[in-house]
Amino acid sequence: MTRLGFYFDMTSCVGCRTCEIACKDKNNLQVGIVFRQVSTFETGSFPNPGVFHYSGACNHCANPKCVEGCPTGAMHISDDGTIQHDSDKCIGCRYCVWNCPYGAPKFIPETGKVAKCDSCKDLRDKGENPACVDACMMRALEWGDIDELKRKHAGEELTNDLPILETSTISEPALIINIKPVARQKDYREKVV
Amino acid sequence: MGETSLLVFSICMQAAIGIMLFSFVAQMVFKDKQFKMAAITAAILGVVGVFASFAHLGHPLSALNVLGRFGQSWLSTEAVLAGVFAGVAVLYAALHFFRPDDRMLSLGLSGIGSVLGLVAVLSMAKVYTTTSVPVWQGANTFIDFYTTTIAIGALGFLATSIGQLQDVSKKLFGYSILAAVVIQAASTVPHILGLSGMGAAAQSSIQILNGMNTLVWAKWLLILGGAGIALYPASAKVQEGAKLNINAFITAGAALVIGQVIGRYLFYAALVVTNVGLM
Repeated sequence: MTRLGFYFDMTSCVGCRTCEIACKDKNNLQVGIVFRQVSTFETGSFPNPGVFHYSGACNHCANPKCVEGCPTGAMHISDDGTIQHDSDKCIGCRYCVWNCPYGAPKFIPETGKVAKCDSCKDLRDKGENPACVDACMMRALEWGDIDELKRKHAGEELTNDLPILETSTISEPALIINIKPVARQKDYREKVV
Repeated sequence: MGETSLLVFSICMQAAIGIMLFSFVAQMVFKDKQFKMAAITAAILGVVGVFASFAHLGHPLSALNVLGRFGQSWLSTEAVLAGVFAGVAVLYAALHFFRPDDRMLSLGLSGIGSVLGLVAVLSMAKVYTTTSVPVWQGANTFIDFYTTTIAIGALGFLATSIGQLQDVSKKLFGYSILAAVVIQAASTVPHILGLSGMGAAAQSSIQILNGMNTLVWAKWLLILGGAGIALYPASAKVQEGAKLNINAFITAGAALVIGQVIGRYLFYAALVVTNVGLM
């Protein structure tokens, strides 16, 4: 089956957070809730300092821990292989929040249920891109068949393992990153903006 | 801390399971005795535990949705087993009012309840060890949950059945409590050492626990002290007509329960999920 997922070009991301805001706007999220978040990290020190940004969202994993743990089946793998959430089945136990190694599911206190990035399924059903992808002014985000994206970006330094992330063997995320060399350093420090 | 209901659920349920287990053991050892107060206490704790687990949910009225993934999701399995255990505990308590002389049924219900309860404790531990929270991963959570079940269960059983146990040896219960808390304390050392070599989330959990040093010390003082106090009257020679030191059991029970509650508070307070990007 085709695996759909995000491509993130770390070498061109400037950390402007437009993707984050576009997602927030599209999903009408309240203060404190984000389905996509840009984090900034510093590495090294003078005279060899480094900086990189990581734009994270649900990685629509092949072996999703949120789906495995969900006691009701609300979190499930949909027909197109993406991870979707059935709000009618959700009981708000927050177990998926503890399970996801990427922090994708969010508990919404107002509804008493969890919600997460659905890769803008409604837009995709109309043939459009997820909101974050179209909003990115640096064209650092793309959505599509992971194998096709890999072929398109062959020659770039692609990975889905970073020192800042859990190892990809846990959940097999549908994510490919064109990595900046400094992002391989283990002396990273998150810079809270 | 937003996990108070889970703290109440896990402590009450493990105490209820422990009391049920020691009721079963005591019925096997002391064949002519009944333990009505222990049965009532286990039932009350089991029901309180189930209601506390509902309080954790954003949508408690939809709680029956968990039935669908029994055997597939550890949380679903835990919820179902805990609910069934509470039902058995209520039946076991009711038996003491309606058919108090039916020894076989009493043994059967407490035996089934004990097995169900011990499997429920396993599923409770699995619920936490399979998450992306490093401080919960590993054998320590299993050891912590089972030793809490044994320690509070044995002491709870002693405290509620002291009238029936005046003239018999209570060493089995005293040594069970002591062994449980010693194992619980000993397993903490390799757990913390193991965490120090793990990633950022584990380090954050260690920092949280370091910031709560006073509580950590209070926990171990109360747990080990409570077990020590309980051991003294529980291991004393049985003498006809001699009065049992009930105050020692009450003090030991209070210390042990408060210590275990502090321990469970620390367990949830150290919650840091491994994730980056989405905090």
